[in-house]
Amino acid sequence: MEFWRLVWQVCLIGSMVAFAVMAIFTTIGGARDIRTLLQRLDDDSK
Amino acid sequence: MSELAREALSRTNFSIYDWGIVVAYLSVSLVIGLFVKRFAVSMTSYIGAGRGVGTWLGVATMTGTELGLITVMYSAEKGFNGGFAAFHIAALAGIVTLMVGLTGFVVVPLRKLKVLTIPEYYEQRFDRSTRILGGTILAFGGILNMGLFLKIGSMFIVGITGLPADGFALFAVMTILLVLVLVYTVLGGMVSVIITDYIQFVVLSFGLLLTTCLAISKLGWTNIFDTVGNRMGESGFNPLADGEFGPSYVVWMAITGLISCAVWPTAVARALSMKSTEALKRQYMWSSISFTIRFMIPYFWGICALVFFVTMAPELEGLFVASSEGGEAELSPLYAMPIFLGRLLPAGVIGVVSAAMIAAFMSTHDSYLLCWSSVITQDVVAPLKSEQMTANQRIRLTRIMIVVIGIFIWAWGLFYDGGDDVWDYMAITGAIYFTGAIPLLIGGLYWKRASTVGAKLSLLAGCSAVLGLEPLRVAVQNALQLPELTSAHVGLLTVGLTSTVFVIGSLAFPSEKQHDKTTTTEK
Repeated sequence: MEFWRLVWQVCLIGSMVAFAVMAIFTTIGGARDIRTLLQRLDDDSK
Repeated sequence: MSELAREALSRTNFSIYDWGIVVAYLSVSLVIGLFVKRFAVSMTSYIGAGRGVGTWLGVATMTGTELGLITVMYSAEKGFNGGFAAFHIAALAGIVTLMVGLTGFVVVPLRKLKVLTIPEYYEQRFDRSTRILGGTILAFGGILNMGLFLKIGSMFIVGITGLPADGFALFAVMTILLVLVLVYTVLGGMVSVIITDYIQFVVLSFGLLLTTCLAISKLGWTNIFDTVGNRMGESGFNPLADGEFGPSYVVWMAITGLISCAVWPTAVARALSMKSTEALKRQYMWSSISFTIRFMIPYFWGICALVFFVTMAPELEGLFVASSEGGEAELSPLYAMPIFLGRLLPAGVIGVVSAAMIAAFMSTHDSYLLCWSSVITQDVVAPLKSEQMTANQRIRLTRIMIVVIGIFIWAWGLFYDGGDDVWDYMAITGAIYFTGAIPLLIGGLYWKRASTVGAKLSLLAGCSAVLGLEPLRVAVQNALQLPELTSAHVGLLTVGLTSTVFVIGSLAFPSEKQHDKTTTTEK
């Protein structure tokens, strides 16, 4: 049981840190991607 | 419902300010959805966002879609019932998604073919009738799969806000949420879905991390693990031990992990919207984190709810336990997590978290509604019509189907009353489509002898997965006098059956012409 307990503790902490980092990148990069996408769709519709 | 249960549901920190936060958030989502309506002029932009989505936006929309409120609810239920052993599902989902991102397995060859939907690929690789059959089964299984989304999501809102669970509130919440999602999805299509998904991702990720930190600080890190250990023993941590899971369940979850990211149409729709295969692979590698988190954090919330009831509110614990005479528990375990959050989070924060959860609810509904309705239009109705449908006709039909599916899930949520865990219900209804689709996608892309007859046999055999639903499964178990038959057993047996008939059908009835252009081994 101790083995699995340690595994899940590491998984939980590791995943949360990775998710926090990913959320920052995605928030910044996603805003830039939206601008590009709308520009492209605007050009296409013209 | 007893006075204790009513009191448990109504006591919450949710205040008028929190209602203000939720309403403001919903209004912003709606306005943005309406603003981008002008971009939905062609079918490619309406259901594929013009194939112009960059990596980070792809990650946001993939996360927004696959991390729905339904996911949060059923995962919390699994964590509440199964403890930390449920984490194996999250770990497997993350590993499999990372592998798909590294190798491009299935999704890269599909993106290279420039199809808009999976059944469209069936036509390219096999024939038109396979596309229509595949589209019909896909829409049937998919719509059934989202049948409980609306009800379960509304249960969360009722639980966290303290609205009365046995009155008119659930019905009203279901109706209001559905109408909101329908409005912006119908008008804006995929562009609207992707942009609102992005906003929902930002709110959602903040809400997930904040709530988890607050739960740990309230209950104590060591206390959480110790309580699960005392309560469940080995089976609370080890997924292979006797208890909620076991070896066959773990194998079934590895398969569903692969399906969720590489075969499930709403995820594949994101892959097909990406602007390049390189962006797609990056999207999958990053999304492996969110595919892990989307299960792990809600499991943890469910576990925290259990620890809260055991250590801080023992008078409420009995509400979620079935009586020893075999009677039902007074409250569904689905209510455990929202009741816990309603007491854990302070006013103000609870509004932000509720908005985040409603964001999760909406981002999943919009994508699923758009996905199944576009499959019906593109892959069932359009191929059946003798004359070519125009873009306007297709968009109009897709919009009508979005509304029809919305009405169906509203009615299904009110009337279906199965006894499965929500996750098991979803896995088995999804299996109606995906157990048949696995051989078509993998075999069709990587095995040049795959034939149309094998493909059709596989699709039809996949329908047998419906026997995994609790009422049917119990009937089969009793009729055949089997000692034990779980939904995982039915799912695994169906995968075996579809793969076998696909191979035998392909070898016995080869296609007249080989579709070498779509077989990646030929490239």
